[in-house]
Amino acid sequence: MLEIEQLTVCYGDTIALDRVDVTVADHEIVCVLGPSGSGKSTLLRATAGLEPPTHGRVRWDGDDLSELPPHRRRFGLMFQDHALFPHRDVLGNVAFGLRMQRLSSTAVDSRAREALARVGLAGFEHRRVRELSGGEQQRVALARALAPEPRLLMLDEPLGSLDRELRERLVGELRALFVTLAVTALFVTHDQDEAFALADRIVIMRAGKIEQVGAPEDVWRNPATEFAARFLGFANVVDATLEPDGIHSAWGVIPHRGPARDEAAVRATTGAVRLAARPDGVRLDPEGPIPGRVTAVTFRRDHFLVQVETELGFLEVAATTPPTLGAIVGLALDPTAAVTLYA
Amino acid sequence: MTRAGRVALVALPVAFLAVFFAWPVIAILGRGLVPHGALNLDPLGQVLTDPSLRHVFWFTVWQALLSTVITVVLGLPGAFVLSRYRFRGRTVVRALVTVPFVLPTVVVGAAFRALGVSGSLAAILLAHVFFNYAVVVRTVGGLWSHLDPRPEEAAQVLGANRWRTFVGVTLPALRPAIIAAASIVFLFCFTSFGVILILGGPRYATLETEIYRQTAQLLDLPVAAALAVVQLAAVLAALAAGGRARGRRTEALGLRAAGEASVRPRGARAHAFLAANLGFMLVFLGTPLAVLVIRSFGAGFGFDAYRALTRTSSGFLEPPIRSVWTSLRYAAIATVIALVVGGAAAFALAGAHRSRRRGRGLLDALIMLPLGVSAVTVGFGFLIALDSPPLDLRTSPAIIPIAHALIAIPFVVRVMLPVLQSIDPRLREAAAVLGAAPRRVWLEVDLRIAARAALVAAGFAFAISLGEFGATLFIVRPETTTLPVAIYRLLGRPGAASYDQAMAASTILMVLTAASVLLIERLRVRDVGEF
Repeated sequence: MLEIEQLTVCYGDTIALDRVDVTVADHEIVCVLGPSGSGKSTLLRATAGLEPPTHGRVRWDGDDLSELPPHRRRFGLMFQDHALFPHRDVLGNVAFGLRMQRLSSTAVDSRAREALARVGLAGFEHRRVRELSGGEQQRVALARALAPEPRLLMLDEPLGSLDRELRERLVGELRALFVTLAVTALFVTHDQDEAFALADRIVIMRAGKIEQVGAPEDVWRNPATEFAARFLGFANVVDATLEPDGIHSAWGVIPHRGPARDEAAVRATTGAVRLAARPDGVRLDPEGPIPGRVTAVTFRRDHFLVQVETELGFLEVAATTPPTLGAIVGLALDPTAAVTLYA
Repeated sequence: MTRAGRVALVALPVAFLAVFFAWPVIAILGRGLVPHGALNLDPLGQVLTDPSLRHVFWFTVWQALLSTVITVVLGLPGAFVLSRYRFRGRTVVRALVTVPFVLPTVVVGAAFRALGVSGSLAAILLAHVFFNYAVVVRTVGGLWSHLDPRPEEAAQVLGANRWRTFVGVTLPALRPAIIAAASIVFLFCFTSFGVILILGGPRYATLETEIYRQTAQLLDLPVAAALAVVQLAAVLAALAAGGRARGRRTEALGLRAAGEASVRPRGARAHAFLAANLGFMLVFLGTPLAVLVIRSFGAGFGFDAYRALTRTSSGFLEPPIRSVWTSLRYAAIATVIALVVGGAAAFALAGAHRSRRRGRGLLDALIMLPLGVSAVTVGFGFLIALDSPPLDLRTSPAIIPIAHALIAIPFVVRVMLPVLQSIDPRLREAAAVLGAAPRRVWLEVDLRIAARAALVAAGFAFAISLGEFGATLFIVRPETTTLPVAIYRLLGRPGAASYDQAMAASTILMVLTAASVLLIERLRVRDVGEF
């Protein structure tokens, strides 16, 4: 089990990582999700031992790894653009970690070939890595990281550089592979689809700090902060107040929302909060409480995304039929789709 | 890399350069400025005021400038054609164009003599352009082939014609390479020795030949030393000016993988341009060498001259053909020395640059300095500095390969350093995470990637040593005659038979150097280019 405690990394005056706590249980897949520059890669590099922490520690099964150099941590790291060795062929890349374990050359060879076969690249052994496509390079990098059977596999934007179609296919394969091999994995991405498809648990990061930790479904349904909400697509965030009879806002009064067991507690509190909703939680309704003017309409395959200028700022609505630009419309909230943000 | 290892990497080149470069140069300065223990500026004053020596100085400067301008003007179209046009045989042409550059100066001199142009300014300029054409084509072409073509396309879409596009977009982007090439060409022409000695005749003298004449013929060491001081100052000034001009423009260029920007020539104009340039290369670079080979077979078109090389003749202790073996042996030793010392310097510099350690600029300059100091100065310095215990190398056969290695070291560093610096740091991190300890990371990543560059550097060092003439002429002894020195001696002997023998020996030397360079080119084509 990996325990990251109060991990802090500073580069000069900038704090790349600020007192971060993350744990990864055995066979668990944890995804760190955040925009670029949020410190995700630094978290992996510090965990691997490539970046000396300013403060805090990394433990494995209770042992402090602070003094352990990267090559003795038995962690695997798949780099963002793969960092394959250009001077070695595919098999040479995959065999590298096994050779470092001083296995016999026959064992190195057979296990490397096995790892290649596992990622669907049997027959590619003696190809040069520069001749491979992006997807093939990604698989070689994965095989290279997996071959030495690291106790923790870390992946930095594993599918980041690939095109959409390939990415969607590989997400499935990756998930299947993780389950078969029962790996313990910590990976980072800025791509929500990737994170929700692969992770057992999600950590949302912002500017070196953790915003929220939770199961994918929980995080998706109930973002804890405005940052997490906006990052996860809750484009409509408005001020609101908690009153005993419900939540008051420009949308009108809606019933209290919260996990069932907490409802009584929520009912008892009063004060300023914010109310967030995704575009599909808002509808165009001439009778709706918030009026506005249509400023943009974008076709989004299964719906139209309509941007509306209101007194509260720009709000976004999903619509099945597009209104005309400049039209005056009314907006209404689906109370069950709204999330209350206390922070 | 351990700390002790790092120290060793720095100490080896520093010690080598201190003993075999700094000390001889200081000895020259001493001879020139403090001849008898007291500062005496008379020789220097004499050199600066003597009308004939002043004439030598100005001639040195303007022939070098003129040679540089002509070389750049003629070389730019060649660079364009070889970097931007894709055509069958391009790699071969590119390799063949490089051959003149590594040819020994005596071979070039002999070739132009065979053509019948000698004893004139035109002969000197022609030989300099012939010699340095490849510098422009390769340096500028190297950048050109990596240049992103899209800014040019953008300029054309915005309404600029070809000429305006070239002047407004391409030329500024190429500026660093053009300046770099021009500085190198200027330096080579400024310190040109063999070409002037063989083609200039008594009417044309440069600082370099004058230093030799004062030392070897007039035995006036103080004046020779003063001339060397003047030359050293001029070279340093030129290096500094070139460095400044280059340093002013450091913004990143959008570079592409080589070859991405090259296209097949389209249209009659492009084909005519390509044909004209290839024709020029063929005639200009090919003719002197072809004539050289033809003349080596003599009037009767046989192997008489080659056979004569195997017999002892006047002025030689041994048959001249023995010098082939001597040269090959020295070249092998010099290559090993240059590779070990230059390789250590390259690794030390790459490491120092990576961790931004202090003093890296100084080491940088120290390593590159021998490039700017003429071979004659090195040879002369060896003669006057390494002549007393504990380092009396005058009679040691080691002195020649050491001098050759000294001249080759900057090239070794220049070839290896960019490759070492371009190693993605994440490759080292990837190796570390996969379980490689620091020493292992160095062996598996740095050394492995540098190995091929080292091979290329070795080829260059070998060719440089084979053809080295200026320094060797000072320190050579009858029993250590190298091939270029033998050629020079043969050229200096009267009679058609000696002349044919000189041509035959030049042909052998040309084949040897060309072979070592073409071997490099094959390696480069296959592998080195991709790092």
